Amino acid sequence: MTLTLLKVLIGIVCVLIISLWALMLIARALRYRDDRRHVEIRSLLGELLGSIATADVSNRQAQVQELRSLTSGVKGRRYLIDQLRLVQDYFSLPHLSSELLDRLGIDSALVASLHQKGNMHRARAVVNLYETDSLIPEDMLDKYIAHDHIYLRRESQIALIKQRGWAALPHLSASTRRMTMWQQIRIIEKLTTYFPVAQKDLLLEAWNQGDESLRMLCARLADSFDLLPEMHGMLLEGAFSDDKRLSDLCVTLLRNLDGNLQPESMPISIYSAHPNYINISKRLAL
Amino acid sequence: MKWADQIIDILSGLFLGYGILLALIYLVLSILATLAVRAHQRRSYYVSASDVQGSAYLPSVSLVAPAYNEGLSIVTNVRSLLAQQYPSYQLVVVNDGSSDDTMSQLITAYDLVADAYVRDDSEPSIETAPVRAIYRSTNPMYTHLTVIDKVNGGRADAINCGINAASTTLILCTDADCILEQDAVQRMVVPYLLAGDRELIACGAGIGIANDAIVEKGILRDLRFPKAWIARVQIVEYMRSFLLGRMAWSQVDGLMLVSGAMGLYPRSRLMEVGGLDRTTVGEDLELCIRLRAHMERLGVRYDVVYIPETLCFTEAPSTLSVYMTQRDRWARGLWETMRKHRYLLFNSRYGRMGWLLYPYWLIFELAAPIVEALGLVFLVYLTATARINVPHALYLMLLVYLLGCLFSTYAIALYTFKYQRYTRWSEVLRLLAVAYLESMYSHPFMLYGEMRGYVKKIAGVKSQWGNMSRKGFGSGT
Repeated sequence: MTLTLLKVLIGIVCVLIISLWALMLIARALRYRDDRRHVEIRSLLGELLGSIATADVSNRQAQVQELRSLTSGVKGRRYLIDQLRLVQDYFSLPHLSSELLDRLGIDSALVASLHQKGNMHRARAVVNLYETDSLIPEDMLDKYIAHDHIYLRRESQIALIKQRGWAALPHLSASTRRMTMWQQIRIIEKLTTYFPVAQKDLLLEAWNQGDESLRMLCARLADSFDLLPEMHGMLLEGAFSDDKRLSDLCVTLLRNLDGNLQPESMPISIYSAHPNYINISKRLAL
Repeated sequence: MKWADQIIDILSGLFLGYGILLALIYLVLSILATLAVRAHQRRSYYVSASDVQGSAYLPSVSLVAPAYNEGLSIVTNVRSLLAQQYPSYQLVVVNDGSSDDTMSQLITAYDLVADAYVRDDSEPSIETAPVRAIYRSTNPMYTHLTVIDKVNGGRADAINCGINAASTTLILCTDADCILEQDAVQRMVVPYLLAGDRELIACGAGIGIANDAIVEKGILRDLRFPKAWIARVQIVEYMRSFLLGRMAWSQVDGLMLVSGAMGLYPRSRLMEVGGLDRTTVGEDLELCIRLRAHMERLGVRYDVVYIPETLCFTEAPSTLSVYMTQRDRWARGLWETMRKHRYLLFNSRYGRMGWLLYPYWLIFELAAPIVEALGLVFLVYLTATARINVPHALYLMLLVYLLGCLFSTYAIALYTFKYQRYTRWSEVLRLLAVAYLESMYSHPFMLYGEMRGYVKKIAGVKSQWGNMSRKGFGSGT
């Protein structure tokens, strides 16, 4: 290695180190600016939500305009929606946020985002729309529920359930990708909140689609809606599945039934040819 | 003497080539780490710790914390472990035959009474040293707490005992001397909740240094900059190792190590592989490799994931001698694990583990201190025989030093920019100063500690944990 080359390399490394120092300074300045902007957004948001609640918003056009300018960029809009979601979580006042989003023109901006090229933008638009109680065109959801992009697919499936309820459950098998546990939790939350009457036939229809992760969701739904004692045959089938995650879940749920289920009511012998028969029946204590 | 010159040329080329390759690897790892941190932030947009906290149907988690002679801080630390906000968790503290007052302090502080131990015969269990008693609290505030008193068998044995006693879906292995963030469990389960086609078999998180920190009622109130220089050095080491190294490997599905102080695993998979290996002092690395190898043999697609946030704080060695003892143990653990899993080397049955990950660990983790030590000997020989080109050598040393500074600066910049720790300018400047002096201050001792560990293994000295004396955390006024 020549001396000149060494000197050049040392120079490059020094420049890189100094650039990192400069980046740290710039990042700090940007964070300071963002923090100040966030304080302003939060303060305006509080005022406007209060005035919407008291039907006084028409006198607050100046604040609406100010908030609109602060949230015109993607970052500002994202922060506003995050704050709205927090407000919704704590006060359960979705109509306030929908009205505010409407007044700020963010609703239409989100729907427009659904047509953007980036899947990440679309996925964020989907989650923001369903979380703020806005409707998403169903043809789009039908297209996205089997999408390759994990976030877009997952959020669209949750949105579909939010909009169509139990009827959408069997359609979730359209995707060949496995559903995550988080997605299942969110779907259960949406069904228990917005569609609290269980549809047993649709649950069985979804189970019969044969998709393992959809079956896991069905098992969890049966548990959440207190349907386990009458659907234990379904769980027993799941317990003998080759899919370990489904099998473990069904075994756990069956074990949790405790005194509600007698060994004689479990048609376990039909699985006696299964390679894991002894192991699973031991775990089920039957 | 022509042949001697030729050998020197070859050796010089080998050392230079190794160094260049290592620098390139660090460069690639830095880029990958940046991508991984970005991907993590994207994920966080969809699932945050607060989303998890408010959810139903979360997987149950057991925190398993072994304790051995932790009388100085056990009450505070158990309080920290009990301060978790996760809705469905149990804390299993395993007293591993302590000879101090650890057990009596626990009994008094948490109103513990011995409970009848009923073993569930329908579930398999891992063999451990005998259990003396299982305690539960009579205080309704501590219903999550189970304390197991057992005969001493080492850290791995104590964790295995905790795994046996746990009845949850997930096991979070930690240490009784660790302080966890209150939302640590919520954050740790997120990758498990997001696992889709690939099954999550292990998840780790960043570890922070809490020397001289103020802990109130088990909660970290003030993360002060440590007084001891050697503890400060470890802050930078951890940032570099966790944020650049592990995040980068996590991004390319190549993570082979999840820290023993903060590792989440599905209980069923731990039971399948028989828990932690009691014969090595590097049980965290060994477990992760064994789990990966197990999944490869099963042919099930899996993930080992890392979270960049610092969720667990521990007391780092605050003297050079304890620091060397720790590195000595880590080196022995690495040696033992690599030896045990040598069947992986270029074994196509294990895919990238056999062809990329194991060889990487062998060449650039296990062999690195050896190459460095040999390089130093070579340098002394060249100087003594006047075969060294002094300007070249000096410039090369400066370049190596600056490269180290560059990667440390990048880790500090990434950490302080993305996460809310050490954000004050005075702290950033002190971290940079430590990073730039580290190679002259602590690195020689680290190298010595590692080489001492290797020599012990070569000489056949039986592996022991070593004395890791601690001061305990400060409490607020």
